Order: sequence, then C-alpha cells, then structure tokens
Amino acid sequence: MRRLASAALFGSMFGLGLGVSGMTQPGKVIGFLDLFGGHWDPSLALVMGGAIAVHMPLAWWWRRRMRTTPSTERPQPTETGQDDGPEGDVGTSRALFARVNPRLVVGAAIFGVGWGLGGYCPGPALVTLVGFSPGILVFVASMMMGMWLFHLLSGRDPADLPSSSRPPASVTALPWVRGSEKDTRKTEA
Amino acid sequence: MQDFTHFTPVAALEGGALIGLAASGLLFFTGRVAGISGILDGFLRPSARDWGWRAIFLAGLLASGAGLLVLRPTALVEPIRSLGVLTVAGLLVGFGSRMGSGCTSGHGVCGISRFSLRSLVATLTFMATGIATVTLVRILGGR
Repeated sequence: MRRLASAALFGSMFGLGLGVSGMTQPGKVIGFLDLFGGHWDPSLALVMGGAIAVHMPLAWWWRRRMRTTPSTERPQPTETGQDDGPEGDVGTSRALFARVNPRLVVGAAIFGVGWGLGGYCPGPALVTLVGFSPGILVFVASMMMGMWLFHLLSGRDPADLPSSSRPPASVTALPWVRGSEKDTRKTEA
Repeated sequence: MQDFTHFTPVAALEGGALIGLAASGLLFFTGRVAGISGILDGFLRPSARDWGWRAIFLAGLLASGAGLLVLRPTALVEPIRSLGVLTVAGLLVGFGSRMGSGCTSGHGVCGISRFSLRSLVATLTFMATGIATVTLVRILGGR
C-alpha cells in the first residue's frame, strides 16, 4: 500500500517537475538540441544537472544503506524503469564497462533522432497527454507502437548481447521475459 | 513560430530539483528507478508482476499534467511538428528507448546519478544524434 501511494506521489511530482522545468515544451527541447542555430537554449542542461545534483547524493546514500541492510528487509530492487536491472550493477564497474555494447549505442542513437524530430521524450509526452491535442495523441500512440515493434523484432533471444561481453546469466535474462529472470534467480539460490 | 531564445535557468533548476526529488523518493520507498520508458513498457505488458505499481505511477504522471493546467498552464503547449513527423518521431523514441534500455530519465538522470557508464554513453549518444537531427532539420528548412 505504501508502495502504491509512493508511486502516485512521486509519479505526479516527477511530472510536475517536467512541467515546471519547461521540458513539456518541445520548443525548449529543440532549442537545446539546436546547438548551432545561433539561439541555443541551455535550459535542458540545467534541468538534467539540477535533477542529478539532487538525486546523486540521495541515491548514493540510499544504496550505501541498502548494502548494510539484511537482504530480506530490503525493498526488492528488481528490474526497473531502466529495464536492465541497474540495481544489480552496483559495485561491478568492470561488468558495466563490458556492457557498453552496440545494442545500447544504436538504441540510444535511434532514440535521439526521434527526440530531435518531435521534441518529446517519453515523460513530457505523457504529461502533455491531458491536453488531448491530436499531435500528442499520435506521438504517444506511435511511441507505444515503437516499443511493441522492438519486442516483436527482438523476440526472446538474448543473442543480441555480444558473447564476449555477456554478463552472468542472472543479468542476461532479458528484462521483458519475466519468467526467465525469475527462473534464473531460483536456480541460483 | 515559437521563441527558442528564452533561457529559463530558475525554472529549469526548480523543475530539475523536483525531478531529482521524485526519483529519489521513488527509489527510497519502492526501490525502483524512475525510468519513464521502462515503466511505460512494463505497463503495456500486463503480465508484468508489478503492473499495478507502474499503472499508478503513470496515473500520477498524467494527473500532474492536469495539475499543471491549473498551476502553470504555460507549461502545456501544442506539439510544434506535423502529425507525420510526430508519428515517425514517436516510433523512433519508443523503439530506441527499448533497444537502448532507457530514455532521458532512466539514463540521463537516474543512470548518470549512479555513475553508470552505460547511461553516460547512452546520454551522450542520444544528445549527439538529437543535435544532429535538429541541425539537419533546420538546414533542410523544416522550421
């Protein structure tokens, strides 16, 4: 219950932050990305910097505390918004380094092209949805379609991770294959 | 035509701090990383065992839009691209966010905050292709 209440509270706080910061205005996003246009708007860098400045020390403190808490009492950090189990990465910088792979870079590159074209990333697009303007409805619908397309094309095969950099089995379990992730844990435990 | 020249440092920092607080609160109370694309993606597949949490987070996000209509109506504006461009943009954002395992929030804010090299690389990559795209669109006269 506390978990669900937190989700509601912090979901709306997150959205308010996006709105207050100006990031729900595609003109400001594109103004930031238009580095060479002569009217560069650095606001987005301050939004991201401000968020990181607040989140970095708090997240560091939380993770340090988690490490000293018996695992049975922790909130279970499983697959997350970032969808590749970032919690599991803590303290394994070598594994992290190896996991900078083509899939990550190509995916981020594709994301950036879409971001620059529309001026929306997922958060601001969802916050703007209440306006019900045709443009944002079309954007969010095709964004969902794009996610679905990726899963359709990538299937359940974890082979898209290069074998040289394949992390331990518990990490390779594709995040969208919930069953396999759970199974891995079971066999390891 | 939009005015792209308004630099809003105070609002940017205020909003950024709110985003950072929200991401921290979510981490403290649920152990989750506030990556919007991942949360949405899980929500779209109802077999996910933590579907309810995702649904409520997203509901909060949508509700904040309604809140902004009252508190700061200037925050919500119409898209500035044509429906065709927005369709392509949406497809690329959705596809790319899943292929790259995160978006501006998951990689850009949360990932960098936990010193993830993956997230730093992803963030620099999508900023670079975003800048290239906007530059190209301007040169080709799209704006």
